[in-house]
Amino acid sequence: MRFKARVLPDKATLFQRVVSTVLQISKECVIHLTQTKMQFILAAEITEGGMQVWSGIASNCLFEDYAIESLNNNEIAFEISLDHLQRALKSGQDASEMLFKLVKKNGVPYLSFVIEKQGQQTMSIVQDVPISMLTQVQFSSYIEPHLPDPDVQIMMPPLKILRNVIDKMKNVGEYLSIWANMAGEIRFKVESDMVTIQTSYRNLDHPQIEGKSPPRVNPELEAEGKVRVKQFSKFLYSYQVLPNNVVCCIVEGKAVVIHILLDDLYMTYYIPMVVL
Amino acid sequence: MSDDDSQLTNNNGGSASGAGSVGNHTTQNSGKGDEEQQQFQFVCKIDNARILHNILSALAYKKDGQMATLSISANGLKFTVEESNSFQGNAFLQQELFQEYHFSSKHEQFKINFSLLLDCLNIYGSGASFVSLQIGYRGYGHPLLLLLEQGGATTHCGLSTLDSEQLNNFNFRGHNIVNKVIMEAPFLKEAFDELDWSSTNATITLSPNDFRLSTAGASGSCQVDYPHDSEVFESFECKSHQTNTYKLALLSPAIKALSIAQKTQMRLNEIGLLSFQHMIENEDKNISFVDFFVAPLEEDMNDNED
Repeated sequence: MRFKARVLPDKATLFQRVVSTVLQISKECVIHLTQTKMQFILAAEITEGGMQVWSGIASNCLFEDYAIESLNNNEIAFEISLDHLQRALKSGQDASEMLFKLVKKNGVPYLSFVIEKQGQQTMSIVQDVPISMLTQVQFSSYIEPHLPDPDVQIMMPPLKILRNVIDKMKNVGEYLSIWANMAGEIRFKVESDMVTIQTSYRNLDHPQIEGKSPPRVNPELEAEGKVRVKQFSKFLYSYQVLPNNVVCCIVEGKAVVIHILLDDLYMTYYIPMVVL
Repeated sequence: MSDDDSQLTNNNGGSASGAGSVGNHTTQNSGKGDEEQQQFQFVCKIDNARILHNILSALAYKKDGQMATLSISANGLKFTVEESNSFQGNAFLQQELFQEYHFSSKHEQFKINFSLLLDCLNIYGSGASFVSLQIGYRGYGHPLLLLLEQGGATTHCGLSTLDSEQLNNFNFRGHNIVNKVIMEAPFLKEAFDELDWSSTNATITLSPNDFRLSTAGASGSCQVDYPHDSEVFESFECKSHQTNTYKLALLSPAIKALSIAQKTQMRLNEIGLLSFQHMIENEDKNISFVDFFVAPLEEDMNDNED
């Protein structure tokens, strides 16, 4: 098993932002490396109504001199603590060079970062981030949720303001109702004994899915569901990566799926619906 | 949104009729049709919700769950917060602040969750500008409705209303006002910030020669003095030497509120009741007032000891 890569100098920030975004949801994460991409997977507690995050980026988008070899189809998966990873990446900020590779020291596997900083003198930093390898069998239990086609898919309103709205809504109650139609409208609502707050947006676009015909704007197609507001609010941290597109898909009775897209980076949040 | 400007509109299927209330109970309004047909007793509109949020934040001293009484009259809106019969804060939103103010001649008064009201007023965040606000009330048993619009977003809020209790009437003018001091707010705040806030009480002494704040506690004692002719006073009137002690926790809201005021008038009446009147200059250059009353602890009334 072998892995090494060099972080593209102008991509160190993006790498940091992706890690930081996932870290806001959970410290413990699974990283899956293939010949073409790097995936971050949060799939814990799915059976207990927990949310899942599946995020991936084309390896050539973040790295050069990328080399991976393993008996398992040249794929490698391991568990890692994102706060340790974040710390290593912070050291790599403004570095002239940042390489990382899989190593074993005293029988313990690490993702080892070798960072070079040019200053008055050249400084060399090594940060070893402990990881826990996953076997092929162990990793096979991580399956991205397969859901029916969404009933409604609509562009999210700008995250900058939406973050503040959802933040205030968190103070009201545990559950958030989301309603949207295929005519550009979306509504978020929370209620309690003391207050009801509903925020709506209009004139939103409906994304075109690759390979499918453009969506037919149809006001009669609508969908809604309730999610835990705390879970829902977690996708909002992704504003950090400055996405090009944020798409909200509602699969009635099952989940709200949010797609964050930025060039070769995708982050998919699966938020289970609550049936009360 | 309906085109009728004087009404809070109900979107087709999208209204937030909110939780209504009768007496101390809250009931969900089930009939949306009922809500729509009932006329508004009161509606007002302001183009910049931030102005209201700023003034009202002067009364916010609890992190959450704070209640306030709202009185609606021809002159404007008055929000009152109280603690037992030792403290009261009032914020006045005079009708001139609003672009539209439709008062139906029925004076209304009820209690609402003030913390949630502030959250609603600030729903788009403090960075958001040009948030327009409409407030509407259909009368007893109905929720207080807010409509906030910013860019492409529209937010409807319905706040439950509860019966209000009799508000304290401190009858400040019922006793002679003996001492009056006007100060720039930052100066007074600075003076109070010097005190030991771990103490329970603070003592305020006004004499013809000076103004003194002091605290005494387990960590020692602390005193701040300003001579009467100090430049921090815009005016200084002392008819009678007075020393009174107040609970710091009850002074705290008025002191915190100094950070959004330009200046304040502190007055003391004969029985040591302390009044602060904070003057706030709004974004639109209008002036608004927030006042506070704090009752002294009973032991020290007109103590002539220095």
